[in-house]
Amino acid sequence: MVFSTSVFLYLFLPLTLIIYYIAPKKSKNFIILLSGLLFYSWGEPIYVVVMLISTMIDYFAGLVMNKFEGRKLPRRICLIVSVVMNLGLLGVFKYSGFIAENINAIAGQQLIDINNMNFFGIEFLPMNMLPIGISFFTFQSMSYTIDLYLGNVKVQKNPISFAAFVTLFPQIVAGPIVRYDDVAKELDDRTITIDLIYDGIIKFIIGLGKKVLIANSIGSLWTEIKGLDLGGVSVLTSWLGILAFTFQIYFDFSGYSDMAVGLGKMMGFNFPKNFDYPYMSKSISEFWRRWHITLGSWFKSYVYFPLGGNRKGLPRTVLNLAIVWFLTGVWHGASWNFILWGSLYGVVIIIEKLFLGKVLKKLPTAICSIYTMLLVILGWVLFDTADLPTAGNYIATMFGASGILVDGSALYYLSTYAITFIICIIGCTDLPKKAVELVRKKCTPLVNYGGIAVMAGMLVLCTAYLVDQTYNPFLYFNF
Amino acid sequence: MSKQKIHKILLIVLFSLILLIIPIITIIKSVNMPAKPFSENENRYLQEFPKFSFDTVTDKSFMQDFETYFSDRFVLREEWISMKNNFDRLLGKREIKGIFTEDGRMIEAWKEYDETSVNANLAAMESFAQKYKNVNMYFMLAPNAQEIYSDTLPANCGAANQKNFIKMCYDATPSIKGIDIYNSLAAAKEEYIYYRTDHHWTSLGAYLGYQSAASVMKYNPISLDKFSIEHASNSFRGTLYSKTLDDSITPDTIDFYTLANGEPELSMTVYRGTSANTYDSLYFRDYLEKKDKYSAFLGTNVPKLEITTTIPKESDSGSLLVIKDSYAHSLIPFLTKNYSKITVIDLRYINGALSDIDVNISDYQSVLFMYNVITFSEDTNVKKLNFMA
Repeated sequence: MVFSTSVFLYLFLPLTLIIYYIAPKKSKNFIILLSGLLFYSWGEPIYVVVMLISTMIDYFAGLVMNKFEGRKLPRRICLIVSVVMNLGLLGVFKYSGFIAENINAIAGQQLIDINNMNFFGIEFLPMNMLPIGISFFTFQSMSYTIDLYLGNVKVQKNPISFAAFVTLFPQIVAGPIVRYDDVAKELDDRTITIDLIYDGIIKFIIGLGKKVLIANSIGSLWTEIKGLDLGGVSVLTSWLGILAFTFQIYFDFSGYSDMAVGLGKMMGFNFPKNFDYPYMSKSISEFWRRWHITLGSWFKSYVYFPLGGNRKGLPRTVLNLAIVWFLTGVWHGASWNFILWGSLYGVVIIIEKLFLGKVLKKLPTAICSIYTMLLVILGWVLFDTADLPTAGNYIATMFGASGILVDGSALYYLSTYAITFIICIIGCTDLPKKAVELVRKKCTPLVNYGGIAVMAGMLVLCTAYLVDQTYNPFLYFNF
Repeated sequence: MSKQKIHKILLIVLFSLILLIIPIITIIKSVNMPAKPFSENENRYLQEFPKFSFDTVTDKSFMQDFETYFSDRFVLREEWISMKNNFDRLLGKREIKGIFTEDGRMIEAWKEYDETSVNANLAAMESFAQKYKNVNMYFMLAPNAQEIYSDTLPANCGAANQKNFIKMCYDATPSIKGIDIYNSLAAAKEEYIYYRTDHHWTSLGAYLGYQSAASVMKYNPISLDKFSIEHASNSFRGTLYSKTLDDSITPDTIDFYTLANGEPELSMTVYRGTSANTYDSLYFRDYLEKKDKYSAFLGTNVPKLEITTTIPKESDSGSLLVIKDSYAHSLIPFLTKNYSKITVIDLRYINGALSDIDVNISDYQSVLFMYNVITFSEDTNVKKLNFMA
């Protein structure tokens, strides 16, 4: 199930919250588990099993690790079992098709029949199956066993509490990547306060608005432009298209994270922040400290630091960064586009670390912003085109390959999407937040009560967009 | 309770109320609905409660159908959709669900078409015409409001040129005489020739088609002043309205044009499946009380209609076969003044040979293909003529 459907908002959510609030404290985690399973099976009625297997293995790995406290070898075996198992699930479900394709390409023949693969006798089509959120829940679940091994967290003996951590529905499909450490305390003991619910509702509605009102609206422009024959696309049109995607992915992804954080608060959890105005960054390194923060910190904690981070000399630091950014690319999807996308970020970040960072600090901020956004925008081309040649052609079009600078349709797109673009530009800066703070200082009740009206209005408007998704007049049946 | 918390509690209460009231009313509403609810506006039956079984759950059809079920019964469904369309307009979008609303009228946007399919249809028509050389063949392709009112559309919105399309179609069928009706419609663009809320032309628009065809089809058109106009309904909200749900556009008027000094006697037989019903009028007034008011003209689309009219011999042009879409429904009342025998067939509803429904082309003196550009460009049935006749 996804948050932006009427069934979630007006059936699943009210029912779950009512039961959750009524339930005695001791059984709240059980309600989380049940609602999470229903939530996940609604979209993945079969692969919910995959999630449960991952959960069970990590739970038992934790128990066994705890039993052998102080003994390195058995603990290490438990860790290896957990990591191999989680990465194995990812490998089979997410990467097997891609790996097979490339083996075939290198071999120059059909060594592996992609349309007829099997895993321990179970046949599957690797291209058609990717359990929703598998990249998120495997990483979340792994964080428990790794942290337990490193001694950062205590063992979770209650299977329901551990399963509740993995199946906690707000963050199950699209992050943020909540580490066990982040919620360990709240999992066993949390208090739901009026302040927390209030903050949660605001965060949730803002997130819903970002996704439903902004991301979907601007996204339709990218969908339209992406579908055009590139040969006749003007420079302006191609820029408008990729700018539309630049905004779409930010408002979509950060909207989902906001909704997750908001829902978490309503249930008494404080999830980590996932986005911090990334498009205001002045360098690529800064961008990645503000974009999908929980992913970056996951790789930092569990890959970069264990490899030695920057403590083993410059060459080793560069290598470590390269590994992390290659993996970041791979994590986003099984295709060369993502690998190149992540690796190029790695290259830029290494260059910034070596010398560019110091240069940027001396330059005017406007130039730093342009430099950062230009790279980010070009990166999105790689991120959201079908394959490398298409990405190359698109970038060529952006720099004039079609020989048309501006045409009528570009002006039409610009005029019909101008207001949406303006909303996007303002919305991805901290201006709205600053404005609210300013008004709050002058007149707090205005923010408090005006805020209620704005939130209610936004919820109503989002509802209209959700209902419209299935409005489907079948008009020509009779004509 | 501390003062700082009042607004927080207020928001929580409001949020809870919205989240509770909407589903509760929706559930009450669905419980009280008839067994098979039909949406007149969307012209379809609403999704029924899906079957719950192992198979429907594992293939996710239960979940998908349930989402449609819930959304179909959502409280104030059309009001929500209308709100969304208004907000889109506020954001500067001018095209909503493929429809432009400009200058007080809704215009269906036509941007591209499947060339292969159109060419296959045209080729089938041409070889059909060559096969029946003794029958006079005519082709009337009516432009849609988009072409006539193209100047009101936003610049560069991607609307394709229908005039060129019509010329291309006529050129591809040299054995069929093309009827140019574009000019007379364009000249009358200030008149009420297209519905504001529906994709059809009005009776006046159809009359202009009738008048333009006269010189090609060689009949004497009855002049407009001989007709009396009956405003049969002035609350028609058509198919374009169903999509935009924009109440700001004035509802349309359905006009019946009848001869002022008395309509000729006629009988119309409607063939639908194995049934055949005969009427003495071309108009089904029952539909004027329903949503689908355009169907008052000759009823809804059926495979075959036969109309025989008693007209003086000197003004009778004989027998005519009309192969058509629904634009023809408002044209045919005029044609009955000049053709004593008209058979109307709709290829979309015929799958066997034409002889199976007792249509033999050689029995007719003339054949008229009557389509509008959008329907014709999307049609996949005209090419069936290759094996039908």
